[in-house]
Amino acid sequence: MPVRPLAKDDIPQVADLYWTVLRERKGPTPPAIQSFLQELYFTNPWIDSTLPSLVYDEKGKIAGFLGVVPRKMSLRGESVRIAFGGNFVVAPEFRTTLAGLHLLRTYMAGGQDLSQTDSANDTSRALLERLGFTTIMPFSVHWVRLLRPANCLTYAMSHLSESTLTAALALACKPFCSAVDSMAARLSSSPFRQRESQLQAAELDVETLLCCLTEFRGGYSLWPEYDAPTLTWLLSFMERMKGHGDGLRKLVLRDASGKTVGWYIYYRTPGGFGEVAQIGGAPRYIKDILDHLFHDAWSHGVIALHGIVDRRWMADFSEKNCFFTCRGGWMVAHSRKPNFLELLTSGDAFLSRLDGEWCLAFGI
Amino acid sequence: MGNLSTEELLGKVRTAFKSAFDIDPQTITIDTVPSDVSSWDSMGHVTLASSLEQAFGLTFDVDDLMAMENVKEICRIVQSKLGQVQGA
Repeated sequence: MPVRPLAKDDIPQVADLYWTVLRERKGPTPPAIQSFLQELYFTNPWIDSTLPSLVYDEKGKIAGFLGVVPRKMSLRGESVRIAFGGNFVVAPEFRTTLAGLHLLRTYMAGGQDLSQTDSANDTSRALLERLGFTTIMPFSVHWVRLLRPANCLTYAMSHLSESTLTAALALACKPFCSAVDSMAARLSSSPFRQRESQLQAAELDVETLLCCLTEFRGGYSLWPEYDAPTLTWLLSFMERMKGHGDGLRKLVLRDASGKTVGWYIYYRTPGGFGEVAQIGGAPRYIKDILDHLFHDAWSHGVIALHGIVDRRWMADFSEKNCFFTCRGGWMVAHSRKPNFLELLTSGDAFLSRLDGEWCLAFGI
Repeated sequence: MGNLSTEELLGKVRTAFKSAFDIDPQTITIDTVPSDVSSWDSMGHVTLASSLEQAFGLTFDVDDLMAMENVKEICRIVQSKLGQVQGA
């Protein structure tokens, strides 16, 4: 069968596929794409030669690619191998070879305990479900919090319509929208009112995040395993690749006594949607943590925030005027061990967007 | 349904192809392979499998799906599963 492990020499062809088919871009593939793929699939700290990325090699021509990044997790202290699949692409001229099916089948047959993706679109989800994957609903519900509602409207107008007139109208409305948003953030009765949190914020470093991840994972059966090198690489990769925005903002929050009560990590995108990678902390402080996050993003010009709901905190998110949707990427998983899927579908896992392949994207 | 003749079987397979790909069923022969049908890609393949399941009242597992690499194999797998159903 023409499916084989990805080799370093394949990177130029895979980069072209990624650029022209997956990202639907024209023109020559930027060299940065090759560097991104090289680092992601050959130098990530979880590399495991038994869980390689895969290519569909049609007589020397790379017809398809499925990127695999292994991650380490722990099931009540016992090591678990997870293979996250992503950047799945098949060249249009080779689609009737059923390369996609063969790549997925080979991936599923690997030695991992769990095959998983955390940002499947509707088409991928349908295909994966037919092959035996399960949609993990507790990690597929997204929250959105508008911070500058009028600017969100013009953002939607300029991004959803290709009409020049609509874009011009959106631009013309901007000063008015900014004035409306400014009022909305200050009126005491406004759901968009911004409150300064009493919590003290500081830059979240790797050591502190490691402590937070250990301290606040209580009650879950499955959790990600990090150490300083893996977390350092991951945060650096996210920062450099700008997968979901310009600046990666990482803050730890402490109460008046200096005790750590929570943290958050998000992509700060002035004038756009801020993508939240992780929020964590003590349950009794979650509303304060959200207030802090919203105020921080708002003060940096972010117009709305978007993330994955931790269902324990759904009521708190709702109380803080977030709304919920399943549009934004599905988590789907496959395992030959039913107990893993039961854990995930029951939400008994301390997982965030930091722990899969969502955070390993390349921003263009 | 287990006693379908080859022609009857192919007729129902053709109907499933029409349902999955909206193509003229007469273009499907026992020698048809995915490259003969432009929309028979991976996603089309699972759509076709669902149409075949409906047409024959069968359920295909992932191994069946992977083995259905052309119309000849589809007919063989369908015939085999129908035989199993009848024998049960």
